[in-house]
Amino acid sequence: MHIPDGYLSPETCVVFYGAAVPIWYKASQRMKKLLNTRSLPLVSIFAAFAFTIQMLNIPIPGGTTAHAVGGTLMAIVLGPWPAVIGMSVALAIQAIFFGDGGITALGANSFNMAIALPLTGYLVYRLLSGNAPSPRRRAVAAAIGGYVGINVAGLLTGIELGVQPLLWSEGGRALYNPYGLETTVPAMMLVHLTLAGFAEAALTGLATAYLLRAHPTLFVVEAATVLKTGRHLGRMGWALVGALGVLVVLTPLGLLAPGGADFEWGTEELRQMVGYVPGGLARLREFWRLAPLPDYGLPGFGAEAGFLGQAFGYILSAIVGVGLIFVSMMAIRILLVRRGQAIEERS
Amino acid sequence: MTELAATQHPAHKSRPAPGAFVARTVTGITGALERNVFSVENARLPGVLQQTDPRVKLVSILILLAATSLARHLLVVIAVYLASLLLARLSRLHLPTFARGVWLGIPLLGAVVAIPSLFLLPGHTLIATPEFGGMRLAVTDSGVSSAAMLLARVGTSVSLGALLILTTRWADLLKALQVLHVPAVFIVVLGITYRYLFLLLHTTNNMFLSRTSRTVGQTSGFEQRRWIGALTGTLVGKSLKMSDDVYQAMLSRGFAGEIRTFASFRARDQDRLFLGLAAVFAAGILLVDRSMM
Repeated sequence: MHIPDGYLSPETCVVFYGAAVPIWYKASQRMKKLLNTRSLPLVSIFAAFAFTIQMLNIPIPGGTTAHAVGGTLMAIVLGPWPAVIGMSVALAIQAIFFGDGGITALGANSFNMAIALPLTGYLVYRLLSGNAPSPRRRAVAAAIGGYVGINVAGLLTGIELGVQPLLWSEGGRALYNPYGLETTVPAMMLVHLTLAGFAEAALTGLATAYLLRAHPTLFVVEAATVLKTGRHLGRMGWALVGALGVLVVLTPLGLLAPGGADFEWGTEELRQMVGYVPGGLARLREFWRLAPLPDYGLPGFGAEAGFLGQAFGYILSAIVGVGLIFVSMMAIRILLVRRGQAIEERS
Repeated sequence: MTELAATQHPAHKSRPAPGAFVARTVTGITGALERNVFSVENARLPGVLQQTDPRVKLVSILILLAATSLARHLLVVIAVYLASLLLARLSRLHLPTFARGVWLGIPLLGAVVAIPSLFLLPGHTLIATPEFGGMRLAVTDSGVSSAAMLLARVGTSVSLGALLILTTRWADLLKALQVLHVPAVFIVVLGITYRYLFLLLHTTNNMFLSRTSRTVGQTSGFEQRRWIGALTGTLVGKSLKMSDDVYQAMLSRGFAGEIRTFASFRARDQDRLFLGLAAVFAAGILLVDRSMM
């Protein structure tokens, strides 16, 4: 899932660095509050832990192996914000020193695996494990959290790669990743819903089960802090929504940027490009009919609608996407608030 | 732990012999550790890049990476790649090993992505297979150019990254990050992480080896996964203990919550020349790139 350099356009890289920086800042602020200077070695060593986890091959039914990311496990053990920092540091080490994942793509990789993955994984874990759960329920909740987390990260990776040919092509020639959403999203999801998802779920669930037996005190502290701060979860959800909002605002800018460059080439080049695109879009539509918003735009907002029409369709689909995420966030919030009230009534 | 420099390859991307998950993991981890020790030697060679100020090197490589990323023509990307080969030669790196490591290692993923794009992207047909059941595979011009562009860009970016990490001691590279205004706390965290990473990798390897030596016969998939779960849990426990120990050690050495790093680099005229050359080269090829039709 580590995107190397060269797959993402510079504009995409900048947008994702832009989305990750406020969350890194927020995470480091929260960590300062949560822990004292003790957090320095703690986060460092857990970043090394995250790196190590990704080297473990986990046997998958069917004879193959896959490796997990471990972000959800880290969020369960350390809390979501230290997990964000720890995972980001691990990714930075992988990119800088091991060439695993690109340096320019570090913002996007961090957004997927160090921000979205641990935050959603942790959110699902808290939601499912409830407030006074049995160890079994916690382990199952951890496994499901890990599964959801890695799939969200996989989906984001697929979307990031998939928008590249749509936004950055020159005369039908893709400048960066050549596949559209209709290919990248199913490809990423196929792997993550099955192999990688299973590995992550197994590692997160089984390690949590082991820790509940061997280090139960870890969870006593965690339960106490989380019980007190029910709103904390909501805030985390809002941080995610906020980050996605930034992305929606910024990505259409990316759509416009190459547009400006297009006009520099002169009309001949442009005619060539526009003359070519509709055929390609038509073929791609046939290829993936299931997508609710084919080609990331609405029917009637394709290339035949011109550049502005396409941009409009693109923004509309972005709003639909973020709207769906917002609705699910609100649903989670409502569920959490109800649960919190029920607990208050009981006590 | 002794001084360790960076490796050229992502550790878990090495291709171990097919076999049990234990063997794969052990091979992967051992490979990462060995390559690390090996690559310290590269950083000590008396080459051009090794003698360049790490800050200058970092910024120059970033400029070249940006140029690679912004280029729209295959020839321009190839020019950057040739420049990276020249730098590798001047830095006394073994060229065949350098090129092989880059092209056989990381962009394998690139090839997996690029080869189907030869067929899938619509465009003028270059070669086509005979029709079979109403379908046929056709290699298109846009498919070929997209695939070539992607492979060239990924290979060049990886080469540039490899140049940086192969010719720089990791401690210097960390300190050099300060020129990018990376906060000191992150640099310290990166430093501690890098150091303890190898301790954890060694520990994990030993746990795997001791497990293998205690196991006779076949184990079920569930049992293997359960064992990995327990191993991970044990690693969590060890990490907590270790971070506590490190904190105590920091306190006993007078750590009071304030982070100080010292940057002792001094840029010489050669370094300024190098930076200037990198910037002129990057700007020049981008100018050529934009003026090409």
